[in-house]
Amino acid sequence: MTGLDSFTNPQEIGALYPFAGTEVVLAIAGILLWLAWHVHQMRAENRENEAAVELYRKVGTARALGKDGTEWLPDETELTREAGTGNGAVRGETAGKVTGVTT
Amino acid sequence: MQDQLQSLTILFTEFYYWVTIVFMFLIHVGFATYEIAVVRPKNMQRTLMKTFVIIPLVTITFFFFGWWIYNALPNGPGITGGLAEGAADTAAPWSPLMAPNLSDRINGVFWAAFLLFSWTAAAIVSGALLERVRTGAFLIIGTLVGSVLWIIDAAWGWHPEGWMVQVMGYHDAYASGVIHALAGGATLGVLIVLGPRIGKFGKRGEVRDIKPHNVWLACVGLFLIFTGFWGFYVACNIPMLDVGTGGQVYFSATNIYLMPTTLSGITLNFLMSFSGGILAAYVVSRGDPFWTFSGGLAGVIATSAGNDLYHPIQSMLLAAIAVAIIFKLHFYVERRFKLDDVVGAVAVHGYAGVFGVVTAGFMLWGYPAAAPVAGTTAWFTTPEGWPAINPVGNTLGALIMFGLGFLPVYVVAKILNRFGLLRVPRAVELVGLDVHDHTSAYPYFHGRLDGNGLADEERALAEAMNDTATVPPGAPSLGALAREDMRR
Repeated sequence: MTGLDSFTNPQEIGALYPFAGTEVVLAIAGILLWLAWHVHQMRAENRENEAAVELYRKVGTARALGKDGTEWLPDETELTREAGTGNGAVRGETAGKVTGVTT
Repeated sequence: MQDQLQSLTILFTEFYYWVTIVFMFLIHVGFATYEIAVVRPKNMQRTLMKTFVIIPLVTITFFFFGWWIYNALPNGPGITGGLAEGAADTAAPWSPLMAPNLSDRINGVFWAAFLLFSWTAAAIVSGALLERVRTGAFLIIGTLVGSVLWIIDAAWGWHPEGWMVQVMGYHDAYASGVIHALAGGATLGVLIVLGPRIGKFGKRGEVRDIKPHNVWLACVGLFLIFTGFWGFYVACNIPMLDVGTGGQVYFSATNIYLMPTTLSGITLNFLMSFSGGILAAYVVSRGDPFWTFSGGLAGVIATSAGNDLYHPIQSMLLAAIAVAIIFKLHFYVERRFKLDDVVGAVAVHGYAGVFGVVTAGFMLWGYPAAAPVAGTTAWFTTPEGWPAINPVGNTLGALIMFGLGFLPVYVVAKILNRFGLLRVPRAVELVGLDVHDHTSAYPYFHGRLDGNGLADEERALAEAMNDTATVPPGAPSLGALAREDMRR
């Protein structure tokens, strides 16, 4: 049995959930999972940023800025291909906008 | 539940709060809508995730410790007493009352109503930081604001037995200070450390207007927030309580301090302050859609502290005055201190919230703040010896609210910044937060450079009209422009 087996005399019933008595353990588990979630999220975000910055170093931030400079996302696959073949044409005004940008 | 009247009261109250919770969800639909509308397309998906994921984080932490803080800290502790008795029995995460339980029907819905306030406190901070804050940093700061800071000041200034209420006569019926001033202060604390977006200020210090990518959607988002605000307002009340004295039974709705008011009255005041704020914002912003909508929000916030008792026209006038002030103040601070508050959150929530609390102290001077707690002496009292609302208590209270948001968040932001965890790398900010692991938010939209020549045609037409569009000297300008328009 996990909890109740009858709803007779409801005025005498308190907790409705199964495994009453385990609340402290559940609370500790929940708090640990919450803290672990933050650590995981921070690490994942670090990795993601590092990978993005590495890509921009490789292809050039000016090229990564793409079409209209600040409005549209670049196509990562295309960027990598362009960088690999040395075939990427960078728009003049876009390149000009980001001269001197470092990470 | 012993008798029919008691049963009806309890079940009605349970359902009442449940409905407010559903309504308050709309606040967060609105926040998500307008935040993604405000940012540029390259940042939309990260913005949405940041705004959405704070919701479960504040929820679980408010379960783990937020609700206990509210129940345990009305006395400070150490100001008017120690930790409140019974807090752990009611609100600790291991309490049987924090779960389905036939012996209690109110704790869960009351917790959830406060939780939705907590979401709001955290979400207010979010908008100001858009387009450059790291998601992880915001999630920590938002959790701090939503599950710790605001609920401390709620225990102090929103609990009928809170020390600010009992000693200072603090009055803040619909959370001008408790939520909005605190969240505005917290927002300012982060912004100072975070710095402006790349390109917001020019080399000579000039302010650049970085437009929302969809103004219409931003305004729809604000409209949704207004809708959810109804739930917020009614959740700040107790719907049915016997407030009779001397053995007389008198049922009424009450404010959060258990002092009588009416839902009808707060409905009048909500709508009139909303209207006063919009009309003033339309004038001072010269019809700017974003600020006109935000003015409605600021108008309500600037009168919320006293909207349980004001006359509707008082609400309308106070809202209009506040909106004119906060609008000017926002742009002054932006120019003077180079503060890049993307959505004007410090102004709409922080300045308007402080205004609301301070003015309520003057407007409601002498009203009873709450029933007295034995052993506590108030600075000012009514003739019957109850703590009295007064300008000193509310002005100091406003500073406490703003400061309790500002200081801890400023320190946490400094720490995060010290470890490089507050702001995204410059290259990522330039290229767009969505760039990695995401595709474009508008994959089938090619932008004007790949258009069908319409932009070129428009430009050519505009250039051709340059000469003819000139208003002839001496001609009434409006008439000349109208005639010019008819030539098309």
